[in-house]
Amino acid sequence: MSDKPMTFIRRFLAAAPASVVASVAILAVLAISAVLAGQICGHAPEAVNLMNRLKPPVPFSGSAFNHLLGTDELGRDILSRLLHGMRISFLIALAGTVAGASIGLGLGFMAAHFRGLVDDMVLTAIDFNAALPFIIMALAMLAFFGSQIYIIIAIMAVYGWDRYARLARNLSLSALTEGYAGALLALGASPGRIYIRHILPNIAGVLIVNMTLNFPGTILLETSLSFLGVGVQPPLTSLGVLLGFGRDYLTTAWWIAVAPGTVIVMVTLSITVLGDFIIGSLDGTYSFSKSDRL
Amino acid sequence: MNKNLNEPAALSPPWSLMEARDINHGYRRRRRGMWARAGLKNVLSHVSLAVGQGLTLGLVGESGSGKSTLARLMLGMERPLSGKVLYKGNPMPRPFSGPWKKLRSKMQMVFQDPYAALDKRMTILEQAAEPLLIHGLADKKTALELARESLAKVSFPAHCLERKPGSLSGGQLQRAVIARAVILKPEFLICDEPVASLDVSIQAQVLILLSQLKADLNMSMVFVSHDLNVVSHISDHLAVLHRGRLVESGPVKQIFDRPAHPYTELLLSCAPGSKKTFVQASFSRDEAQASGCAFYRRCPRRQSECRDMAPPLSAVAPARQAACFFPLV
Amino acid sequence: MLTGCVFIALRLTGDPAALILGPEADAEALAGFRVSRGLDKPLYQQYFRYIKDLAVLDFGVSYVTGIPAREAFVEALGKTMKLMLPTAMVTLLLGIPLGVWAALKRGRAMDRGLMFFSVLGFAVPNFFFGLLLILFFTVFLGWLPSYGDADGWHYIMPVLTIATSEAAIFSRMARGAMLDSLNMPCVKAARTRGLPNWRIIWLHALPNALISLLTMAGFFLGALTAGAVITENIFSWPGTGRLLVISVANRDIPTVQMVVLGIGASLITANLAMDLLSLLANPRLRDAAR
Repeated sequence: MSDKPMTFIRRFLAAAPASVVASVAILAVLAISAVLAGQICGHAPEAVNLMNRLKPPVPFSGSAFNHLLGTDELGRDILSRLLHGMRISFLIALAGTVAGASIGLGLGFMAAHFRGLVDDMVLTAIDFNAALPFIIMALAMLAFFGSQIYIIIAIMAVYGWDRYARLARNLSLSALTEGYAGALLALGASPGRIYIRHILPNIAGVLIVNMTLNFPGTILLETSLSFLGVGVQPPLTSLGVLLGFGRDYLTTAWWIAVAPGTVIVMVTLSITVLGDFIIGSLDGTYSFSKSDRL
Repeated sequence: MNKNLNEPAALSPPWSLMEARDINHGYRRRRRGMWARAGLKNVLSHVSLAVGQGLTLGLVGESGSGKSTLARLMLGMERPLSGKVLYKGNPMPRPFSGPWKKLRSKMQMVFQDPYAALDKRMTILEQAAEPLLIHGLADKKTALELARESLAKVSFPAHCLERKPGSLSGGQLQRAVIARAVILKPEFLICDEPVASLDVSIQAQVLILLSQLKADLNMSMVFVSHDLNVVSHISDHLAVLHRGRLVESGPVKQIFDRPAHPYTELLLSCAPGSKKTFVQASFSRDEAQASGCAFYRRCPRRQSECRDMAPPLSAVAPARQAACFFPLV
Repeated sequence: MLTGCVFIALRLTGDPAALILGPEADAEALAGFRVSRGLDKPLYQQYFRYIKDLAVLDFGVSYVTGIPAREAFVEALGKTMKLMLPTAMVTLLLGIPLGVWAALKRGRAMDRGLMFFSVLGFAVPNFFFGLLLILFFTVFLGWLPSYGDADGWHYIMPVLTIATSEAAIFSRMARGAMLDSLNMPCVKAARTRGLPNWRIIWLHALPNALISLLTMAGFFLGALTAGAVITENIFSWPGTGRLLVISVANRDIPTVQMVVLGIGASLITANLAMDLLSLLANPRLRDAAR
């Protein structure tokens, strides 16, 4: 992967099937438009225009290209709301993934380093996390702590942490007992140096693959909670909030629900296809060496 | 091959650099289920031995006999459950404490699997320089320069210095591991099966390299191996472990000529090229007994008292000890 | 340990008296309420009282409706079961045959098509698929009712919503299990003995695949439950999932606690039963357990 970016892209295009290339393209377009949400569309997401209520999308209305995806019950531009909602959804999922990975890594390293009681506690917590369907845990947490945005991010973090913890624990345990990390320990290196300079770079690849695989689940969790009305709260919008609103207007204005739903499907589908491809190519061309095995 | 081989060697203080006194050690068994008792798996019991200044002690035994655990204890990576590890007469400091870290530059280790012992993402040169950086003994530039020298000393091919471990052979990697271990000029080197994963033709080269380095740097060494042939080439003294107990110790030459413990005899007869034959070799799964000699079931010389009482380690000849009621010498 | 966490969480979330009586309540009413619920006592006494109540399965009274949380839960659980039984059946009848079929036609167009639909089934979230069903069958065609649980017609869309996405995942698992068992030595041996293909598949490969699928039953039940939480809310099905979401929205802590602990207990019991079942079905495990 140390080649110049252009040759890497060319190799990727040659190796990947069309579906994977399409997924990457879709993700890139969605990510860019989420970042540039304010610049792309002329309407502010909260601009109310009661004269223009419940306008269908362009192909169905035959009207001007003013509102490409139509308007909602208050005459707000759906495209604009969609892009801003996407931004919130992506941000929550990203922040949650990063937080979950950090917590998981920290706990996994601690379990591997101290063993004994700490290890037992972390393993018990991992098992506990798997005992109930996570959406039920998430709902319980929302009931106790409320639906503030940082609580939702915390829930996303709790959703993924156990994977990273298990990964970090197992990989560093094997590196410490029979691998390079044990050798460094014998050389007198401090644990901080070993974990940050040696183990982390060595497991970074596996971690990134796992983050990719976990991302669709995280997006779905946030959108589900928001759809149920207990996640992101208005005036903040996310894809799930938009879909939840659209549900109330299903009989009169189907496009309010279909637009955010389609975006959700596009995101999760693309990342799943991409993740499958990455795993498949890892199995074939890049065999994990002994200390990387799970 | 080794000049010291025939000299009478004192195994007792004050000449010993490293000494283990009555070591008992074990590991916690993983609990299975919430209410299961956490058991203790005993690994070493009542092991005492010493490594003479400037000498090499060979530590042999079958897999699971506790030789690697003993090596870790001598290196101070763990503390024994009971007993003492003394280095130059002083007790080993607590692992990861300040004094312990200082000791790291004095004692080093060479590992069994050089593939695993090196970080796959760093070049050989960087890794050989790492001990200097860890202990803050040199800045990056000098450290790399010293690493270059150290690698040259172990005849690591100069054109491979910037490579990563993935593209090198086992022998080359083991040379790199050795270079990393000796860059701080340690007084004490533990080699845990350093040639077990190497090709036979390369084994000899690495053994010669190790004994040269030992002479050059005036190191004392512990050489852990299951292969008696390898040990005999490099060691002055031999300690034989069986199921966590020391069953025999003494000068290599004497033990090879006339083993005192039936277990040592068995090991010698199994070594390739041996003229002796040893018929009894039926392995029983359940050899451990509540009391009595651990070797009882496999021993051709067993008597009834061997079943009831474990024989203590006792002198059988000058500088030689064996744990057997009926030693062969 | 769990009860301790829940208790701390309960107290951390603020004064229950203020939460229940609302912001308009005056200080005197708040004090009176505290005395009546034992909230004026020291914390450790409150905790013991709380544990004692849990031990006799008293989960308290809903803050909102005044109905005991246990009664509400038991009623909702019945409705959820009524939804989950047909759903589980449809999932298995759809997922297993499709997965096995894909495994037998490995690598062909049939297999790849099925696997694509399986990815799609995972990627299309329950809540969106449910809405699409409503849009099509209720809004455009006007054939099916979109909410409630009155008669058989009401079952079709909720069951379809959960079953398609679960079957998508389950068919992938079934395909994997079937591929594994087709590679087992006994199956290969049967092939070398020249047994007819149908015999190999029906008598050797399939039973082994089913046994290994049985070990995934716990995962399956969990996924069904999660699916039910969402789907019940789309179709206003008065089950546990709907009860949970409504109480979360109202921050009706006694009911939330009852539903979470209740679902947890039911799942654990069901998992234990499944484990026993797989112990009975798998001779190798049966011998190991002895």
